[in-house]
Order: sequence, then C-alpha cells, then structure tokens
Amino acid sequence: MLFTTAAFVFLYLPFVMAGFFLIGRFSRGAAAAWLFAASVFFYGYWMPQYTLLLLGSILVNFITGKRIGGVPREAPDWRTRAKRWLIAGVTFNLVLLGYFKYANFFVDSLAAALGRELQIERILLPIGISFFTFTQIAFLADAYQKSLREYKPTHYGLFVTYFPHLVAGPVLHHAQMMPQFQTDATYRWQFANVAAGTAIFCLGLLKKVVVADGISPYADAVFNGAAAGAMPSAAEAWLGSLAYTFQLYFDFSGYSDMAIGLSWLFNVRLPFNFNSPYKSLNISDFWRRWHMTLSAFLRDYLYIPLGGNRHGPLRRYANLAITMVLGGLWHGANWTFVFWGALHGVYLGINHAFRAVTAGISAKLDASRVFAVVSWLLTFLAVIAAWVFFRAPTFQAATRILTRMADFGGWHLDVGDNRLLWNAGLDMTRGFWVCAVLAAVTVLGPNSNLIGERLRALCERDTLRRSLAFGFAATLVVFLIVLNESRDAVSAFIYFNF
Amino acid sequence: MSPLAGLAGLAGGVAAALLALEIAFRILPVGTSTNTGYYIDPLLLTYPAGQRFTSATGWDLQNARRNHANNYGYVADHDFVENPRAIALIGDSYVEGSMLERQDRFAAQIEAQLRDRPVYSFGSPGTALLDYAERIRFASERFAISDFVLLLERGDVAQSLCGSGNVAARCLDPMTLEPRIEKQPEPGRVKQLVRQSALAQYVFSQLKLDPVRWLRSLLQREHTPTPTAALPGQKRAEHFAARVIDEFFTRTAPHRRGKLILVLVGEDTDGTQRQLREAAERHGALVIQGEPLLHAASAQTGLSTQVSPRDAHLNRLAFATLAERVAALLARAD
Repeated sequence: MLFTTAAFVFLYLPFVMAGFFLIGRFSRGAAAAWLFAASVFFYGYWMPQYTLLLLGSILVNFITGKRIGGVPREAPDWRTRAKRWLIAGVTFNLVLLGYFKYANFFVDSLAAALGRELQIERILLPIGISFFTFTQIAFLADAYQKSLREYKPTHYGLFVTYFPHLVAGPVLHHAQMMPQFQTDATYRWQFANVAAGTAIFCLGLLKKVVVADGISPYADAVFNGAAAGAMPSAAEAWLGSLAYTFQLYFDFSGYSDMAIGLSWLFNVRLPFNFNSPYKSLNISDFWRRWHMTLSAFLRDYLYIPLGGNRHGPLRRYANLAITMVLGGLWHGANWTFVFWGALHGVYLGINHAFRAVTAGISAKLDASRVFAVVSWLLTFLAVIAAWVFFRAPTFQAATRILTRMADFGGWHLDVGDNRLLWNAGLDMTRGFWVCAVLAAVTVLGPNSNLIGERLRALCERDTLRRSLAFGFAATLVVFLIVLNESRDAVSAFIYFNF
Repeated sequence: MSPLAGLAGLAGGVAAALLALEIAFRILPVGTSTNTGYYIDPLLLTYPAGQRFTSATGWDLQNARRNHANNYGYVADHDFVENPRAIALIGDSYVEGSMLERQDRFAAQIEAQLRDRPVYSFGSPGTALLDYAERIRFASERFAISDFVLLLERGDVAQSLCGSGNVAARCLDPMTLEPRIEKQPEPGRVKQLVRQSALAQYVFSQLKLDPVRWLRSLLQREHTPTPTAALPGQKRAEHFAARVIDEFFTRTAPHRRGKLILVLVGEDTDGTQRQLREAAERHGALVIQGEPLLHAASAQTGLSTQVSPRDAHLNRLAFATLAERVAALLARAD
C-alpha cells in the first residue's frame, strides 16, 4: 500500500487511527498491539509472501537482543558471552539480507568473472528488507554497547514494523522510539499533532506527486534511452541528469516528510532525514544533510567501529572508502551502486585532504563568498555526476551520458539531435525551466523540517489555527490523492527498491 | 475556544485551500471551456466564432496552447470566405491539432507544400465519418469548395454509430442501421457553472475524473482497466462499416465536384481501411495509405511520428510526411 493512494489515505489510515485512539483510552499495551498488527497488515497487503519473513526476523532479533541484554554486566565473561550473541545476531541479519538482496548479484558477478554460466532462481526482493535489517542490527549493537533491554515484544515489534518508516526509513534507533511508546500522551488524541502531521504529510505528497513525478519523464527518457543503446545529445544528457538529481531528492524527501507527518498523527516523532542537501558547500556537508539517518548509521556502526579517524590519515581514508562502498552496495545489488559509493568515498577523501592542506587558511576561505559559491557549484556538479551511476542500470549507459555531458561543443537544439526527448514527446525548453525552478527551490527555499516545526508551533497555539491548518492541508491531500489516482499508473517511491 | 470556532476554522481552511487551488489553476495553462454548440449549421458542432481557449494534455499540462477560433468557429489559420480554389481539410482532433504549434498542424503543412492554394481546416474533436460528410456539404455550399482532404484514423468509421460518444449530429442507429441525428445535449446549469472554475476544469477535463468509477476503484485492490463495451463480432462489424461507408459516399456525392482524398492512418486491425479503400476506388476518390509512409519516415529519421507515448495524435514529422503526399496528389489532380 503506497502512501499516495486513496486506499491508504481514505480507508487504511482513518481506520487505524480510530482503532489506535479508541483502544488507547482503555489500554496502552492493546493500542500498541493494534498499531503493530496494523503495520504488519500494511506490509502483508503488499507482500503477503514475505510477512512471515518479517515476523521471523523480528522474533530472532528480539530473542537475540534479550540474550545480549540478559548477560549480567557483573559477570566476569559478560563481554565474551554478549559478543557471541551479537555476532550470531548480526550474522543472521546479514545472511538474510545477503540471500534476498545479493544472492543473484553475487552469482551473476561470479559467472561473469569465471566466464561460465551459473544460474540460481531469481529471488524477489522483500520490500524494506534493507531498512528493517539495519534497524535491527542497530538494536543489537545498542543492546551490546549500551545494555539496552526491551522485554515487551509488542513494543519491539512496533518499533521495527511501525508502518510510517517500515519500507523506506528513516532508519531508527531503539532509543528514539521506545520512550515514545511508553508515554501515556502518545495514546491520546492530540489535534495539534494531527493538524501539523497532516500539513507535513501534504507537503511530502506535493513533493512526490507533483514535483518528482512531474520531472521523472525527462530522466526516464534519457536514462532508458541510453540503457537501450542510444547516444543522448549533450543537452539531453544534462537535462536527464539534472532531472534525476531533482526527482530523487523530491521523491525521497517527499517520502520522508510523509513518514514524519503520518507519525505525528500518532504522536510519535521520527527523526529528520533531509536537511536541504543541495545547499551543501562540500561533500562532507552533503552527507550530513542527505539521508541523515543512514549516514548516522554508517558512521556509528561501520566507520567508527572500523577505527574512524583514530589511526592516522591513511586508515581514515581507507575507512571512509570502505564505509562508502558498503553504503553504495546497501542501495542496490549492482556494481553501479558500488561505484557510486566508491566515487563518494573518493570525494570525501579529497575533501578531507583539501581541508588538511588548507588548514592554515581555512578561516579565511570559509569567510569568502566566492569560495562558498565555487564550493557549492563543485559539490553540486560532483553529486550530479555521481547520481548518473546511481540511476543508470549499466556502466555503458552511465558512460554514454557522462561522455555527452562533457561534450561542451555538442550542444544542438535541433530536433534531429535530441531524439530521446522528441520520441518521449517532451519539450527541452520546458524541462530546463522546470529544473531551474527546482534548483532555486532547493537552494534558496525554506527547509521542510523548519516548516514542519513552525506549523506545529502554530497548531499548538489555539483551536482556530489548528482547525484552519487541518482544513487547508486535508483539502489539499484529497486533491493530490485524486490527482495521483487519475493517472495511468501510480508510481512507487524510488527508495522502495532499496 | 468553542467547538464552533473549531468548525469555523475547519471550513475556513477548506475554503482557503480551494481558493488557493483556483488561483493556481487560473495562472497555469489549464484547458478552458470551449463552449461548443451548433452555431453555424444545425448539424455542425463548432466553437463560437472568435472563441479563445486554452488546451493542454494530461495532469502536467503538456503541450499547452492558446487557440483562437476563426469566423466560423474552427481553429484555423484563415477566416473562411468563399473561394473555389480553397481546399477543405476535414477530420477530428488530428486535423484541429490543438496540441501542436500552428505551423506544425496538418493544414499549415499542406499549404506550405502547395504555396498557392489556401487550406481550410475543418477539424472538430470527437466527431466521426458521417459528421465529416456534413462538413463536406457545408464547405461546398457555403464556400464553393470542390477539393476535399479527409484524415481518417482508426475508429472514425465505427464511431459513426449513434451512442459512440464521438458523434456531433449524424450517425447510424446501431440496431436498425438507419441514419438519424444525435446531437450533443445543451450543458446543464451545474455544468455551465462548473465551466467557470479553473479548478473544476482541471479536475474534470484534464484529470478526466469520473467520481463513480474512482470510488469503485478505491475498493479494488489492483487498478484494473475500465471495461469497454463488448465489440460486435467481426462479420457484424464489417456490415456496420460497409453501411457507414456507403452512407458517407451517398451523402457526399452531390458535393464532390473536384477531388476527394482520403488519408488513412493507424493500423488496419479490423479491415475497415480495406473497406474504405475499396469503396473509394468505386467512387473515384483517392487514397493515401499513411501507415507505411509514417513507418518509413520514422525509420529514416529515428524519430517518432506520435506526439508522445501517451498522446497518439500525429506530430510535426508525421504531418510533414503526409502533407508532401497530399500536395503531390492535389497537384496531379490539377
């Protein structure tokens, strides 16, 4: 069930909310169980064949976490015993992820390397497996490092399956969610949160249904054409890459806004996942602003355990590279994702090296406006170039696009030179104008997290304001759902593939 | 704060959102009301003379154009005046070409090829072959035109049956196969009121929202295509087509003093084009089989001949290709 469908907004959501707050008047635990069951239904409605896999994974991780937390700290060998359980739990999760997400990839890659034909059955990717696996690995690591204890299976099940974040994040920490599930206020109807949540949901819906889906035909025309062997023109290559740059951002940040807004309806706050990433002035800044919960996960559970920056510059660069390559692989079972991650690892290495070399004049550089503009442009171009590998299904397709992007003498606006757009019935001038407007919005516009916070503050002031906000947002939600449903096909979110 | 204030706030919020959408759609190039009616002839559906309206395709308002109807209510480059040298180009939305730039439309491209003869574009969306016959009559009687070019796409024959939804006036009764008149109803008051709202125009004309169908789909798990009316058997369909084609040639016979050129586009999946070709041969009309020409143009240039994958109307390249052939035939006729 997609957040952008009428079935979700007009049937599932009101029913689940009504049940949650009604049951919550009598029993906190029963309301949490209701939300857990509703979240499992949400997943099962989509992929019934993998519901048992999800529940099995939850059960194993819950028991493992309990074992880790159950080893008494005062025991002389607690670390060894807890670590054993931790390794077993992490291995279980990685095997599950490896099989369902990467088995075909590894076999295909091995076959290509050996030049032999090796075949296994095509395995259907369970939606959200990357997210619920990482969420649970983080839980096990926290149970080991911070002696977390969670003995309520419904709370744990809800923490993992909570439908706003289940299929595409944000990646959650146990410590962020559990206190909220244990608070009485969570189970009480709070109209201020409902009004603000609806408004944030509406903002995310607008980003997805209008902006991301509106610009996606330009990206699809160019990338699908290049994948089919066609050579785009220079103008098409740039337009396709820019279009995808904005499509991905508005698609994923739209999803995150929707998840945050939906969660506010249930009085649960999810962490922000984006912070205007295209305003970044360097690549480290970009990774602090893009998919923030994944970046934090990779930092806390991979980069730092690998040694972080604690063992000299060389190790630091190596750790960065390993973290980014694995981060790339997390996104998808394809070498183009690995390369995308590696490219960002190189970017980060260069950025850190530059910072080290210019340490003496860094204050001066940071104060310079010219330096800021050049830094922004360089960062933005580097990100766009990397997105080409992220979107293109093959290296050949990516190379075709990048080659033409670098062909500065090849700009022709004749129809015959821009076949991919012509055949898709798309107007190049309109495409560039849309990209220019979106660039202005992402670089100069206000941050949706800030908008959300202000809306919430506004809604908390009085009934009139919150009713006004709710009426306004709910009407727009209805309109956007009607718009989305009237199209030939309802498009899924890009990050559902990961 | 009283519950009344809450309700007032809610109503205010709803009103403010609707107003914001209305303003947004007044700024955006949403298709506007066309006010079609039977202004110039009891059997011809046209825009009011001089009508200005906006057209656009789909939810994202692709190919938005501002159109201007001429003195007879057709979207054409010329005002129509009596001119025996003029050529009448007749058809539906393909001929009107409101999704194309003016110079890319079929009439403009034929005219560019001919150079010395005006082409009057009688395109009227949502009409079919027997309606075209009425336009031939009108063009002949009012403007003394003797040469006619018809652009016929798949469905123009079958849609001449009453109740097809693509009839302006004349059609064949599907039961008796006798000709009758089925005019489009006058818009009701609600529709007239709704036409004034850009938001309503967007929802009902651009999104083509059908509330009943939409509510039904809400309860279905998968999106299923709308069932279409069962097609009659092949033999019965051929019989219908033969009857429609016969009626067309009978009605147009008194007005065909010059050349009649039929440009057939689309695949001949049901044999209608074959029937049209055979009938044209019997009645001395010329036929251009468009599909092979369009395939060849597409293969040569690597460019599609459709407006877009979701809009099957013909584009600039297609019309340039067909116009060349039409001009050649007209020149030979001269």
